[in-house]
Amino acid sequence: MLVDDSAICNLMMKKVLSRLFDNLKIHDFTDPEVAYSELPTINPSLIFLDLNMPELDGWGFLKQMQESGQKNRVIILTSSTSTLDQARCASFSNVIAYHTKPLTQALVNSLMQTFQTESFSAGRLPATP
Amino acid sequence: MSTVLAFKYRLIYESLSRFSSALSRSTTLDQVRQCLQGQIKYLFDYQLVRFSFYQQGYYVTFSLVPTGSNVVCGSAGLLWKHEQILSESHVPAILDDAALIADSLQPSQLRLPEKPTQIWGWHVAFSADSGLIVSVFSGGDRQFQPADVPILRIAVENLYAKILSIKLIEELGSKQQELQLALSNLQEKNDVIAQLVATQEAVIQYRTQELEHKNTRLLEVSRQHAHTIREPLSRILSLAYLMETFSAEEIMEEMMPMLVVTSHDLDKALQQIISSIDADLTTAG
Repeated sequence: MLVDDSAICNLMMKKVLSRLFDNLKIHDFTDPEVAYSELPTINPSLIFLDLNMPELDGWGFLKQMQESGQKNRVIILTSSTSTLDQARCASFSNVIAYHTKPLTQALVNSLMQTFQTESFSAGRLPATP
Repeated sequence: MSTVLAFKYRLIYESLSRFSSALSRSTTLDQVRQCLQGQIKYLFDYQLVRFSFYQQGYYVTFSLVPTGSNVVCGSAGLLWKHEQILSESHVPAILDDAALIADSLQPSQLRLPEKPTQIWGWHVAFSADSGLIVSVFSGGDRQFQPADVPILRIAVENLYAKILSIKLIEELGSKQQELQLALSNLQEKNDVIAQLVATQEAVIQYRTQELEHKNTRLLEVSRQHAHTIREPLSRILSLAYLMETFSAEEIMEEMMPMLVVTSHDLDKALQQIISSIDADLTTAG
């Protein structure tokens, strides 16, 4: 699941990810409210979440997940290089990584690898169909 | 005859000792006046007695008749005519010029029982600029006698010492008052300064808080601006980094339009920041 208010970012991520995994199912949202309401239905194995968004921002999204006990893994993908933001992420246990934009092919590669190792060690397989 | 004389001297001795003890109990010039009024009449006879004390241009004059008295403080202008003469000559004198006696009595506010016919006068200088001018107006039934002179002499010495001590105590008192006044003045100034300092501190604290607040606000604004710029900029960089992994066709058809839109977003963000800074500067100016 991709959550970013910039459609272009989502588009780029989609392109990069679809080149890495042939059969990966990707749901992208520019409205975090809609994304959150779809969360139980989709139950994604991984969420790429932007922080700076109007209305409901990344923090609000994470808080709602925390309050309703949703444990889906999250990778923060933000243009904010602030160390304050980075430190704040530590208070959410389901956030497994914090990365700043710009995106590179290598970055996405390594992110996905991290995720896969994490899933194996946690005794879970990535939700690839 | 000798028993009568002995009796007379005993009376005078007792009167003198009463006068001395009454004088020593006096602490103000008015109490001295009351003492003179009550005691001098037992020492000798008079129509009027004047004691004029002086020290460095300061005068205290006591006048007493058998039925009244007064005390006045001031300058040399208080001296009566015959006292002016005595003050210059320093020579004891018995004056019996009726015109001079009348002239001398002119400033007196006291009523004499009978017309005096003589003035017995002494100028007793105790130091270069301090002394006592004593004069006894004698006449009618109240005649001053040469035998009274030694008794008067003792009374005058006692009186001078008393007036001097009262004056010294007064001076000390006024010095102390001056000091007290100076001290309270200082205290007041000190209070004013303390108040000024406190006000200044409050102003500084207020200004510091204001500055701190502005500083924080400035930091927040600049942080916000950086975020606003970095968002589209990071997208452009992403596009640039990913470019090499895409085909020429993908680049032309998908990436380039994205790059154009994103560059416009960056331009918009910058313009927005510039106009917001302009607005802040205008209101600040």
